[in-house]
Amino acid sequence: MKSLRDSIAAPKCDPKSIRNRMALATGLQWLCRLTALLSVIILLVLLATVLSRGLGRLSWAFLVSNPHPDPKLAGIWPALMGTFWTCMACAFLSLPIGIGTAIFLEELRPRNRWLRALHATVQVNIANLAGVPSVVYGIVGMTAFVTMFGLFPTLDNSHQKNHQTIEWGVKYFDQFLTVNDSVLRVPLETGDVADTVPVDGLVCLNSSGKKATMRVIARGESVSESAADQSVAVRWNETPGRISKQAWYHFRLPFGRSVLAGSLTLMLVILPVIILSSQEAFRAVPSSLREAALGIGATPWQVVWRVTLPAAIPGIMTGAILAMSRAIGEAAPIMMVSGIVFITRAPSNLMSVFTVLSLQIYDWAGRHEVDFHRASAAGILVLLVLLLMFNSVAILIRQRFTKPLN
Amino acid sequence: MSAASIHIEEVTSQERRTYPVRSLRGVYIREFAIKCLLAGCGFLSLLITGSIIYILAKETLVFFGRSDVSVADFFTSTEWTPILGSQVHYGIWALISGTLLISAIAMVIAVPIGLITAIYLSEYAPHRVRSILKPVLEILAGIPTVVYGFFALTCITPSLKFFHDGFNIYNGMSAGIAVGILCLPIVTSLAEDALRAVPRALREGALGLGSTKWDVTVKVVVPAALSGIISAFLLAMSRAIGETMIVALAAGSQPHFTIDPREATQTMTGWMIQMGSGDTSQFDTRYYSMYAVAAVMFVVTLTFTMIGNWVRKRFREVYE
Repeated sequence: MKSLRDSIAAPKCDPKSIRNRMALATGLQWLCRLTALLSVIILLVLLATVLSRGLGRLSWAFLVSNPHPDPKLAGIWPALMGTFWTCMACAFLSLPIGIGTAIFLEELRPRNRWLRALHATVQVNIANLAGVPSVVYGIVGMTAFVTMFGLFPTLDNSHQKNHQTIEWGVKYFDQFLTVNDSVLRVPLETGDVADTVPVDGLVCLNSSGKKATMRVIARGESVSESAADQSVAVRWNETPGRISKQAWYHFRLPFGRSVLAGSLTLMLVILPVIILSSQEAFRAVPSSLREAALGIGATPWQVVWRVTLPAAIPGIMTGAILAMSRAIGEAAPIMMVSGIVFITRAPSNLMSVFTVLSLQIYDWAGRHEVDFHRASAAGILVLLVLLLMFNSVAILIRQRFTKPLN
Repeated sequence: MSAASIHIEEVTSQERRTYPVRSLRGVYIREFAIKCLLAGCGFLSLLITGSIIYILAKETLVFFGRSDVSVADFFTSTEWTPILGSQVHYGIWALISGTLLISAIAMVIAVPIGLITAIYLSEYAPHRVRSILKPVLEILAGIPTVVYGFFALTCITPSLKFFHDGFNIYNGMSAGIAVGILCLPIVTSLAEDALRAVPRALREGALGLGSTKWDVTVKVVVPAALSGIISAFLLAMSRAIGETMIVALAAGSQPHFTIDPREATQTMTGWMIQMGSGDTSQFDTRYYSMYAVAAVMFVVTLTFTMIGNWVRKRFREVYE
């Protein structure tokens, strides 16, 4: 039987073994150091890859020109504007809701049993929503915002007469080509009427927006030489093209593949991020401030509005800016909503078709020509500069406006 | 007497003017309205979850109702060949194998490197190194995934081909490495938080017993932070499964049931993005298959996230 003394063996004071252990510890510390260095190396290699391919392609012309089938001429202007529009709309949509939810979770401690159940469920739910992949949000956004569950006619079958897209702020025209290749536009009531048949005396607008009367040239009839006559003369078999003019407040249901649908989808993606970071900001406000305000007779909302919200604003803004920088980089949900599209015009209203910078990068990166890869790398550089700007603003706010509250 | 009473009345009316007593009813109504509004904001997040589940469930049922789809085939078959006209199979395992392959490669890269980096940051790093390394990790975490996709395609894949000829242009290995790099900052920051939460007294006790710093780390600190490390792994895994743009760019678009990382493969997210990018008609069975795949992925990632959050809360060792 082992005695107690045997089992508690004397510590090995063999200097060799101690040296070995120390050597092992030092060696493993070096391993740690080198592994930690790896992430720096990865970042450097990544930046070197992008810079080496993209720097030569980056120019002012690249920023302000449109996508082009020739990679050497292609630019990112519509994508840049699309990013700007979606992110602005997304910020306006998600910030009030996100901060409101954070206030609900952190500042209002309901005593009512049902509200408390809601409180706890919402908290768990948001932690789980934060883990849902963005592509799933993309699918949800496509179903809920682009086609609106099919409750409204989709844009693809809106030419069917019994359906009608609900819309405001848009005018439709049938556009005819005249004999001397100028245009005449016939205003229409709605966008889904049948093509206008050219008839004599039809009141329409010419290319400069003035009223004109159409004159139809019958088969075999000769056309007069004067330019004024020619500019209102339309051949009998001319078929019109349907065009639309959208005001800045143009709005329709369903949203279709539009800026608004894209920003609502992005809102779903970043809402949990904004809520969680705003909650952190509210939690960092010392409760003595709240108690003092309550003590001098403030109502719960007055406490939030006059005391905790101003104290938490720097933290909230930092989190919001970081969330927005995530929104700028997201490509998968936007791709589900907008599809890969070739667009040569910046969005002009919330219903415009759009593309974003990250999607343009994806499109170019997926092609085989090396020149497209260069354009893609240049796009990445622009994206990274944008993100850098966002993050520096966040850091600035954090350092400038955070005052010690304790 | 009348003069005195007039005097008193004057005083009271003056007092009323200087200290107006306002009815609190307006305040109560405002408070109640604001509370309702805020509760509505909170309720909206439940609505979002509800609509995710509703949309996925409804369209998945439509998918299973199609004549060329069978539920058994979907959950057991390993062939995903919806494009071939004659032999249509919707077997989710072909996509799941791609997802698992890429996530496994990603975890093999992200977990050891991330954990060791976290150990270095919390146990060894001097302040100056920390002030460089932390921002580097934050930058890595903030880089959009499409950039990692570009990196995989233009840097990792050529490097792999340089070492071994067998790699396809699109391959699982390259995408896996890029996803691993993406998950690295997540693992590092979550694991570091867990390691830092271990109290100093534990380390000092072990050091006092004659351990080397490495012994302290491996035998005391890491076991004490194990729950946080496991949860970091689970959350990173959930992120890797849901990652889309990297696999769409670098992994190709051929759903195979394979574990060969040199071949082109397709993940669940890759299929979804291929269907969602606009070419497929909205009445096609393939289009609805996207919802079924999304439902499977939603369930999987949700499970990982929930277990991860639960482990972190439940097994958090509270000292002091």
